Amino acid sequence: MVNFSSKKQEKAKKRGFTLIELMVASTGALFITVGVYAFTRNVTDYFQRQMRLSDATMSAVTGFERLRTDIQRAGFLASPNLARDPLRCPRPASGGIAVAPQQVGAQLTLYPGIQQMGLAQIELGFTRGDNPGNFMLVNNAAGSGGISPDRIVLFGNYSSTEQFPVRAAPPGTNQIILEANSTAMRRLGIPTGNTATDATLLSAVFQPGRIVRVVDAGGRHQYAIIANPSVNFVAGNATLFLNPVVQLVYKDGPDGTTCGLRGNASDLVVNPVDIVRYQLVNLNNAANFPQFQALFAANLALPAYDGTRLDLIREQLDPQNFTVLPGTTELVTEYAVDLKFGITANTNTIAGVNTFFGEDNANLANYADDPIGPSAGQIGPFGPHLIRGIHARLSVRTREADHTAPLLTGAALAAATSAQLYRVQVAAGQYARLRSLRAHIATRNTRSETWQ
Amino acid sequence: MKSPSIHGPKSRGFTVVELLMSLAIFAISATGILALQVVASRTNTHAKDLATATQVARSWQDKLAMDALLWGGPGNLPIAQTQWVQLVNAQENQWFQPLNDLAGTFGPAADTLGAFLANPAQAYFCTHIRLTRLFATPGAQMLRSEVRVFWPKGPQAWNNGAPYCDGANVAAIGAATAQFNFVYHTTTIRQTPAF
Repeated sequence: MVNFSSKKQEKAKKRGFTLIELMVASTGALFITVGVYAFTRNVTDYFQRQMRLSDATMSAVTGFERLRTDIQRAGFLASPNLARDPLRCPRPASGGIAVAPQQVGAQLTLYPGIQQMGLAQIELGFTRGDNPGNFMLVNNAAGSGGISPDRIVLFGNYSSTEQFPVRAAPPGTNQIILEANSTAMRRLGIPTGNTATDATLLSAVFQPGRIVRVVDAGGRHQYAIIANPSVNFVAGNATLFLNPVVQLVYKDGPDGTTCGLRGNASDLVVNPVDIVRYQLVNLNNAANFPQFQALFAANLALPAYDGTRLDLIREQLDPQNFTVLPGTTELVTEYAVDLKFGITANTNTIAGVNTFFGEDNANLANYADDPIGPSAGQIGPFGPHLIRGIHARLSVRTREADHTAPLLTGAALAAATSAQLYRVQVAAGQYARLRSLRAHIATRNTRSETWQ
Repeated sequence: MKSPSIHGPKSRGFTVVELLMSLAIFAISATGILALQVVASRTNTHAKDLATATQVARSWQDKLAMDALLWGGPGNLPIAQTQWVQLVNAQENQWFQPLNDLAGTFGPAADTLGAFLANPAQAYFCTHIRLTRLFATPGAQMLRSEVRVFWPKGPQAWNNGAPYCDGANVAAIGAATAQFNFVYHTTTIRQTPAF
């Protein structure tokens, strides 16, 4: 006998969802999906923002440490103010009058990198002048007329920590024969047993076109330019070649100087002097920075405002014309926004007074604008040798603009200088967060320089 | 006799208990993620504070080194010529809060960006220093300078929001590791040689 009741139950078990059930379930699932999606998206965005902020912090720290290290080293094995340095040979003019140093005739005028050698030069607001109309620089920091980053030039031995003893520097040869068996050479790893390798190692320190500082046994120093090629090793002699345009001064030479090298000058030490510059630039310029164009590749899908970003670079300059030496440009910090400097200077060498001149202070020009002061021939207690410390501030932004409004508002925003910003506007209504580091950095290589 | 369910036990819906349990698990997960967000935010802020405080501490060390340049040197200036270094005579081996410099351009108080604040009552970062004489050889004296920069772990962390950069309670603040974050920096400074 057929059990109709059981068949009905079987059929009921196998039936699908009703339309109502399906719609209720779908609607519920939709709500849950939307909620979960919104939640996870919020969480992801949040962590990405935090990651970008963390990146900005790290960029600021690493960039600032690099800058700090170079500022601390400024003036190392170099003159803090060549125009007035009493130990320079030949001596600068007396009477405290700042004059351009002349070595033999007008030789040094051909090399302003020697002529203007000092601890540091600060050029106020240079970056803004070099990037007219840059949205970020113009549309922030109303209290100080916008962001106006400085740039700084530092002189010193950044290639080595050594002074290399000299075996001889015969007059008229434009050659300095270095002591090949000195401890300085050994610390470079010379001799390696291969003279070509030795020459490569030594030429990494004495690079063509750079300044070389020559110090005699009496502590008097003079400067010349390294030729190209710069060194060779032949028959056990390590020879440093000099550009004949700037001649060394010999005491018994035709110049009639009261100082200079004697005889074959076997009592010298020499070291290179570099010119290092930090500045913010827009690397989105294929003509000037072809090596950095991968930063702006189309497949990176960067926002439009990325094209006007600024980055902190470090470069070395040619002493002949202050142009950038090929291959020396380094990208120190991406997405930099501001770079400002101040100084602490000894403003009374007799009574002993240190005075701090902050960002954009007009007195900066008396100490860090030009080694010979604000105008040629000025008499006064000025010059970069009186700098005792440099105050630096570096601001770095997050890569993405993740806010639509500034943190400061109203009167506080209107009065804000670039030093007081927490967020920076990179495009209309788009703000990126800032990380700023600042510090006073003692310049220990000028600690006892009180001459005028 | 109990009649069997039409749909059987397999096709019944969720019970209230199951629903509540699933909601509870979701809530705990969401709370954990939100807590992680808070931790990430605090970590970032702390990293910023740590980097800023480190620069404040190093600024102080370099300012003390610059101050020491006014002690000795070619003019053989007395230690009284210095602003802060001379305090080694009166407060040797004691932590103290230094005063602002005479021009009011640098001092113990700094804001959240590490910028100098003339009014210590508004400080976020505050600085104490301790000077200890190491070598007393005339003309070549050397001091150990210790700098500690501290900032509160919350707005109410120190005595319900009481000022902490007023030069008082220096010893108590130094021990208040539950209330403050600290960065310590130690180096030596020396009398400037008279060459």
